[in-house]
Amino acid sequence: MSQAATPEASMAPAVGPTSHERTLHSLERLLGEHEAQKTWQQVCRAAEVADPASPDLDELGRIATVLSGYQGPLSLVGNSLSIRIQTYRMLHSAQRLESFLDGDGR
Amino acid sequence: MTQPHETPAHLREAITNAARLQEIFDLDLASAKPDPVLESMLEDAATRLDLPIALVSIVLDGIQYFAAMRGVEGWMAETRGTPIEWSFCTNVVVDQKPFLVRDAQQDPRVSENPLVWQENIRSYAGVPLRTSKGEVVGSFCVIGSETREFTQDDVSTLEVLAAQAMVAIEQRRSA
Repeated sequence: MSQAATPEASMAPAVGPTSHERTLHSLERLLGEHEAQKTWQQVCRAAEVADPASPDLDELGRIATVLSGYQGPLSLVGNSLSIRIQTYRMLHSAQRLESFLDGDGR
Repeated sequence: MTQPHETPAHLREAITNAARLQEIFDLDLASAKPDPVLESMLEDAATRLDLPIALVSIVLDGIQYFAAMRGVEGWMAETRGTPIEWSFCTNVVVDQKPFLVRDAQQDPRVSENPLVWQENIRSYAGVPLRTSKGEVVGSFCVIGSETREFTQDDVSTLEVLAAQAMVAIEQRRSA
């Protein structure tokens, strides 16, 4: 299914590999802003995140694991985060898409 | 202004709809359990439309997840999904109608998608997977590596198979 990269590929829109803002936005849509902030703090504590305002990739991975253990749609937010991280790591290690890395330096 | 790597706001609002995500959870559509019934429907779709790839793609809040897949190889088979920004199927969910691409390299809606150039996705036809509660949870789609003009018959074939897939999926609700 693969083919060599083309010049056009480097013009492709970049994708931020993961971000806590995206996850927080999903939580807010599901829970409302106040409850989402509360849940975020709880999840970050459980995931042993040093700074909930800027978790690194490893910490985001732990956040994904914690969220995936929740019941209901929150678990889907965890699944999403987990696959985004997995995709990012896979493509990063293979250096397959430079544009993928441009979205976020983490 | 939206940055190139950000998902547009209207799209994010549509895909993070709480009722839609609840349906995906209730129907267990994000689990990695193989579903031979869905896989046989994908085989049928790929054979009847003579295309190599077929998917039951579930659109979550940040990714599309392949609840069932046929013909997918490489990293996408490993992750069973892609970031939402690269998902053709998101168009089906947001617009709630079939999304057809004859030539992805020439189609301004998708021509900048890296999967077009890196994974040689050239043609796409996807129809909504709509639950009994009216939520569009994803797309039943076929993908080709060559240009393809999809006919109304092709779309009808996919819609029939998508409806059959949803009957099978809805049985999970009472399971």
